[in-house]
Amino acid sequence: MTQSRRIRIAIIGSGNIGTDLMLKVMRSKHLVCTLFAGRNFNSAGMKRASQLGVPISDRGIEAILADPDICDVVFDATSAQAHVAHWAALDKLGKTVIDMTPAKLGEFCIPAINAQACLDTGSRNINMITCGGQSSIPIAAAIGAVHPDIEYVEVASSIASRSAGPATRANLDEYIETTEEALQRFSGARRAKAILILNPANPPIDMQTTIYAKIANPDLPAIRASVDDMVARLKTYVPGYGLVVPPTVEGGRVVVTIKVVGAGDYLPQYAGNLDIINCAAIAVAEMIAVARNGAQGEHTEERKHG
Amino acid sequence: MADPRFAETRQDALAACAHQPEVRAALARQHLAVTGGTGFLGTWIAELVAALNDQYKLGVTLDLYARNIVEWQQKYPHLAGRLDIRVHSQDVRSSFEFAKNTNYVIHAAGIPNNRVHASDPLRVFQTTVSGINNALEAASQLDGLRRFVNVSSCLVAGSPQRPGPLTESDYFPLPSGLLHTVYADAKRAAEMTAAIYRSQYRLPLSTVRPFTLTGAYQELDRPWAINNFLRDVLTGGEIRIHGDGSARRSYLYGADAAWWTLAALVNGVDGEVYNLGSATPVSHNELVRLIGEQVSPKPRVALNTAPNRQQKDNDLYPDLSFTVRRLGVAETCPLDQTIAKAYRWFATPQ
Amino acid sequence: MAKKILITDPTLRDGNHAVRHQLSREAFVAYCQAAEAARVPILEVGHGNGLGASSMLVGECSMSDEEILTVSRQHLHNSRMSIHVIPGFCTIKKDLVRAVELGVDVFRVASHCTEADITDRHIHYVRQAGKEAWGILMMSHMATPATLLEEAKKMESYGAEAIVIMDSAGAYFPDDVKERIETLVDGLAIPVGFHGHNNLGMAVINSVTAVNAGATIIDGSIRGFGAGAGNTQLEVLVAVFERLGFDTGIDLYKILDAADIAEKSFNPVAPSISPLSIVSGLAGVFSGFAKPVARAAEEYKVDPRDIFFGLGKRNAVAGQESLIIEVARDLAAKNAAAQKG
Repeated sequence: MTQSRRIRIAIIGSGNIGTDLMLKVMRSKHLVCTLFAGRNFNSAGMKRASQLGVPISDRGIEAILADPDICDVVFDATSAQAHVAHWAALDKLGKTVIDMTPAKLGEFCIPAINAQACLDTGSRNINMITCGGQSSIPIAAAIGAVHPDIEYVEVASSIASRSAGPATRANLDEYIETTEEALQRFSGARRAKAILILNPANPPIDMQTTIYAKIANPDLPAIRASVDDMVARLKTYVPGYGLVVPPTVEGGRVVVTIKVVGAGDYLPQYAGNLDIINCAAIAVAEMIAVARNGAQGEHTEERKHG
Repeated sequence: MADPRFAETRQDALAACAHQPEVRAALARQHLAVTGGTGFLGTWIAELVAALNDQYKLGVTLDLYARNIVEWQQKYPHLAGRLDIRVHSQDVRSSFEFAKNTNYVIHAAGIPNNRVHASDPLRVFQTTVSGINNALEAASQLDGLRRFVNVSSCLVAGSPQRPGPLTESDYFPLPSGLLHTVYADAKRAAEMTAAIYRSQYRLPLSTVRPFTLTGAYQELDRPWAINNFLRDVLTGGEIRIHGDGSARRSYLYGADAAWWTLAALVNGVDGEVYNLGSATPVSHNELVRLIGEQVSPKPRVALNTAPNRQQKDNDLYPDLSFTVRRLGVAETCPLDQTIAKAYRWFATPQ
Repeated sequence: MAKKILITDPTLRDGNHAVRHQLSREAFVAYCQAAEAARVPILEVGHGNGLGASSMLVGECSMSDEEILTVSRQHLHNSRMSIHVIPGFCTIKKDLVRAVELGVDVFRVASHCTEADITDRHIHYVRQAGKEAWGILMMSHMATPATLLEEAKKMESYGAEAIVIMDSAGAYFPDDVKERIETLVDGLAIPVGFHGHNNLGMAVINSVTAVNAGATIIDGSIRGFGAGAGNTQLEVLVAVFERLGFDTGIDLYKILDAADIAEKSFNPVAPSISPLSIVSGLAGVFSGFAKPVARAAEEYKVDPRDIFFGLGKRNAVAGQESLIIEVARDLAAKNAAAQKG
């Protein structure tokens, strides 16, 4: 695939999420990273980008405003507060933004559920919800597909303490509220709850999420089939995704536990929570690339060659 | 100026600089740079520059460097909109340059908020240590640099273990590797870096060590004791003092703090350190009483003593004899007015 | 002058664990009245895991937070009302704002003993709202005294006005308590407290040791009503403190009356130290796991004691009830393999 066919990606935010995204973009056949922008040249991510020859800037979003032609799509890996101002500026430039923060300004997107529908809306702000949301909502939606009238759904995620930096810890509330809103929407449940627990165990645990659904008469075989199907779809863009406890009925509720083992691109394997949201973002960006290039046939061909 | 609060801050600034015409004269047509320019000290320096220019036609120009500038520009348009003040978005953790014609640098960038010390000590350490490194590098490239003033912290001296005022040469043991002293340790590393540049690169450098500063332009959510008391009074709650309330601090008004820093630029001597604080000691109990005088009915006060502990909360206020002698400065805002002004600033809806 | 001890009584919160969070309205009314009459200074009420914790993960509450706080506030006038708050279960917007409106006096914001920095925003919010905030370190046996002090100092800088360490697993011996409380009292400017559990039968002596080491806040539940083997028994504490010359401000006879009322109203059988409680104490695993562990043991036909030691090895923390099923299944699989082999 020639360079000119790849869509150009700018990443704002040089922390762990942004840096891991950059590495995934570099590995993708459909994307090229044309800008890695943060505020601090001394950050580990900036230094890595520089070593890899990716164009860097410490001007943050101003680097894009100063040269709008530098990119087609922007990943915003900064913060919910910063994203609001970023989107205002990028919207005016007609850029498509994939928002990694819980700002929830745009369309909620879970690739395994609604990537195409999301793109079809024409919205240029695509929100990746939260890490816990990307891991649990597909399962809740799979259950909701069998039982459209779930009374209550709950997701409880456990992540390694080491994978939760100051930004995560300062934004637990935003994480919970954004996950709950998306959970309710995609599962069709009447009420939704999200819980996040940090586990300090050493060696660090892999990210694990349990989904509970309150259903009067659950059709377990149908649920299992639906969940299996969804897990297979998730595995196409999150290889480390897996069922730990398949759908089980326990005391009037359906319980499913999943685990995400990270790819280890930039972050350690136990940071599956960060890996899954990045995998999801890359999946969306690649779909945009494919759609823009109109190269469906060529794309299928490449998949076969792996 | 529509906002009456800014009319008052202007008067405060004029009062602070009124008694030192020779320092004013030395600042005429100079170009100043302040890192951490949108912080408490930076904002007061901007206010002083505005006052000096408007009142005395000194033609001083000022560059403010800060990580986040948009909010500051919106809050203080009377400063941000001036032609003699420029605001630059710059994270000091990245290397940067000062304008070529910069004569004076005040390095005030840092994170004094001790909630951040607890939640993100890495950022605090990096901002402080990398920050001063980058500022010193940038300053050493200036032909016309007359002085670099490092805004350090009284905490570098360690935790005082006897009552009374602290001179610049007093110091107390500081244990190593403990997380809760990250700010003091980072500031110590910064003072060391500054000393190295002064000696090895012959940079004209002085240091000011702030004690508690307060007044207009302060953010109420900063976790200082005085802010907690002010907030408790404003929300009508009970004021709770931990310890027996006898620990003494002092409170220097922002206008004086900024003027003294400018005086350090002009009158400072290489390698010297100047305490930046008020010489008037006041215990927490007394402070609460003074704040209480601003309101009616008087607030309820609860002392929260742990009876079996030895008194750990020691005094933390400066001896100013050296600062006064070298810089020729004086406090123009007495304690009761400082408290009143601080209270008024927070009580007025923004 | 007698040493003053501030007693916090989490009967109607920690006790909720003992009844799977099904405490009735009548229980709240009866106990609030009895505790108020006995001049208990602070009562903590709510779901066992605190504000917003009613969930499938840790158990659904028969009453909403709103109902609990409303009924309790109605019956507490001189006694202050407190709640347990764990960030990650509740949020400021959804839960804390309303709790402030409903008249909570003291917000005890809690984290696992090594994760204090998740409490910054919640403690800060409470202080901005003009209320009292404490910092709580749970499962405190899982950190060294130096680490506990480090974490406590973080909470202090966020605005916490007291620090209480919890012996959530009932794992402490008196020397452990002495060392930790001394370290905290020495390093903090704010009061220090201790919350005991009775898995190894040492809750009361641990509490006395804490006071002798400088703690001025002690938690105790009526008849030990609480998770697993129960909390430090409040009426015993009051009696013991009185004999030792400490001043709790609580009326001894009336707190004994409260015990009778509690027995009739919601606690007919006081917690005893079951084999499972001993095992969880030794394994250092949260006492509140007892019932879900028992359920999982029955379902997967494994020894519940083995599940506890398995959870201990995996450093399970409160809220990780989902891990129980996994450990049980693993044990069942191992047993099956052993039988085959």
